[in-house]
Amino acid sequence: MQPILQIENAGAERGSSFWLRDVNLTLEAGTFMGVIGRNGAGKTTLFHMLCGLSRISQGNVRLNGINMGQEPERCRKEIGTIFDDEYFRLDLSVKYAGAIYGTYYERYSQKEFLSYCRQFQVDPLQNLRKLSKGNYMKFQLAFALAHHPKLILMDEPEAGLDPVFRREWMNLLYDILEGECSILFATHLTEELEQYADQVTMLSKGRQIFSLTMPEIEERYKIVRGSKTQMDYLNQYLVGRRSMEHYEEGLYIGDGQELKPGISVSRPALAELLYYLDGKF
Amino acid sequence: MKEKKSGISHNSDKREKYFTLKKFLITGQEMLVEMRGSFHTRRGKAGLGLFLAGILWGIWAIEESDLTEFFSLFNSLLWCTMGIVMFLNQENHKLMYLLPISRKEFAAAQIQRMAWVFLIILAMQTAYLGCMRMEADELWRIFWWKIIPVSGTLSIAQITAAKPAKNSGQTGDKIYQLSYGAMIAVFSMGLLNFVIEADSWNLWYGILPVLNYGANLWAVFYLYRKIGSADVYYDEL
Repeated sequence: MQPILQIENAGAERGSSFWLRDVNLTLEAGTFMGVIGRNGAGKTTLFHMLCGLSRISQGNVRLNGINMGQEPERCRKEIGTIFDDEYFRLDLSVKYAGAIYGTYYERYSQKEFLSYCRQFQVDPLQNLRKLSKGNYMKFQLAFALAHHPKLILMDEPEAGLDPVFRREWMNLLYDILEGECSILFATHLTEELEQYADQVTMLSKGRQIFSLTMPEIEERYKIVRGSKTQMDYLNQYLVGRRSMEHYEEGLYIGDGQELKPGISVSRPALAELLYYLDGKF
Repeated sequence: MKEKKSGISHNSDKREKYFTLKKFLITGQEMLVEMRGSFHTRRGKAGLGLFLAGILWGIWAIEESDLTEFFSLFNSLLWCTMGIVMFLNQENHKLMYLLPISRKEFAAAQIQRMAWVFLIILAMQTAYLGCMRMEADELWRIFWWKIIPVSGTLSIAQITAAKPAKNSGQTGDKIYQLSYGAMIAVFSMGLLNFVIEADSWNLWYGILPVLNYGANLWAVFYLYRKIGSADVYYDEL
C-alpha cells in the first residue's frame, strides 16, 4: 500500500535563504504524525509547502502518489486544512460557507458537512465571524471531513484553547483515524502528542532532526541521570547535558550498551527532546 | 524529462473548460450568497448604501433633466458600480491558494463575476434609458454605442479590484502585475465614450464606441492572462 504522504529531500526557499531544507518523511494511511519544533523551526513552512501556500523549491512531495509540484490542484483535493488563522470568508454562515467552498471538491457532501456540524455542536446558521475559536476549529474539521481528504493538516489549531477542549479535540481526531485519513499535526502540546501520536517529526532551524515512530524514539533516545563522573564517561554519547542540584542529566543516543548500572535511564519526553536536540544538528 | 519547477496548473492530460454556462450560473449563485453575507459587514453595508445612492441619483437625473445630463447618469452608474464592487468583492484570497483550483480557473471565475456585474449595470442603464422618452432610433443608437460598452468598462472594475490577499491592497499589483496604464486607458475610453454625444449613426460618432469595445476586450484578455499566469505563491506576496 502506497503511503499517503511521501516527502523526499523537500525544501522551501525565499530569495537566497532557505526556510526549510532536506525534509524526508513518510506518512502511512491512518497515521497520526505530530510535528514539533520551536517557534521558527519551519513547521508552518512545511505545512504551507504541503498545501500550496509556499513553493517547493527542492525535492519531491507526493500525496497519495500524486506529485505535488506537477499536479497541485489534484493534490489539494486530497488535503483538508485546519489552521489557526481565518482564511474563510467570515461574513458567511456555516451552512453557506460549506455550500460555496464545497463545490470545489469532487467528493464533498453538504449533507455530511451538516451532519458533522450537528455532531460537533456547531450551529449551521451561525455566522463564521460569531463562532467561538473552538467552534471555528470544529467547523474547519467538519468541512475537511465532508470532502473526504486523505490527509488533514493542522497547524497549531489548539493554541489559545482551554485544556478541556484540547482533550476533546484530540479525542475527536483520534476517532477520525478509524478511517483511512492521516493527520499531520503541528503543535507545542507535546504531552498530548505523546498520548495520541503514532509518529513524530522534529524540526529545528529549518532542518529535520528526526522523523520516527514513538517506539523508535524510545529506542534511540534515552534520558540518563547520574553523577558527574558517570556523565563524563558517557559524554561522547550525550547530545546535551545539564547539571542539576544533586546529579547531572543528559540525552543519550545509542543502543544502551554503554549504560552501566547505577545510571538512571528513562524514556525522554518530547519536551526534553526539544530541549536537548534543538539546534544541535 | 525535466520536471517543471512551478507548482501552478500543469494538468496537461485534460483541458478543463472554465467558461461554461453551468460555471457561470454557479458563479452567480456564489455572488448572491456572498452578497447576502456581505450585508452583515460594514463594508457590505457601505457598498449597499453607495449602490442605493447611485440608483436614487439616477432616478433624480431622469426626473430633473433629460439625457443630455450625461454626467448625472454617469455619476449614478459610478456610484452603483462602486457599491456593487464593494459588496461583491470580499473574497479571501488565501483560500484561493488552499482550494483545489488553478490560477486559470480563478481568473475565469473573476471574468464570470465581471460578466454578472456587466449584466447588472447593463440592466440598470437600460432601465434608465427605458424611462426616458426617446425615439426608437435614438434609443437603439445609445444602447449599442454607449450603454453596452460603458457597462463593460465599469464592470471591469470588478476584476481590477480583486486582491490576492486579505487586507493586502498594496500586493494587488504584485500578483497580477496589473498595468495602471491599461486601467487608465480603458476607463478614460469609457468615460469619453459616455460623455461625448452621438447625434446620429454617422460613422464619425461610431469611432469612440468601437474604440471603447476594443479597449474593453483588450483589458479583459489582458487581465485574464495576467491573473491566469501569475506564478506567485501566497508566501511570496
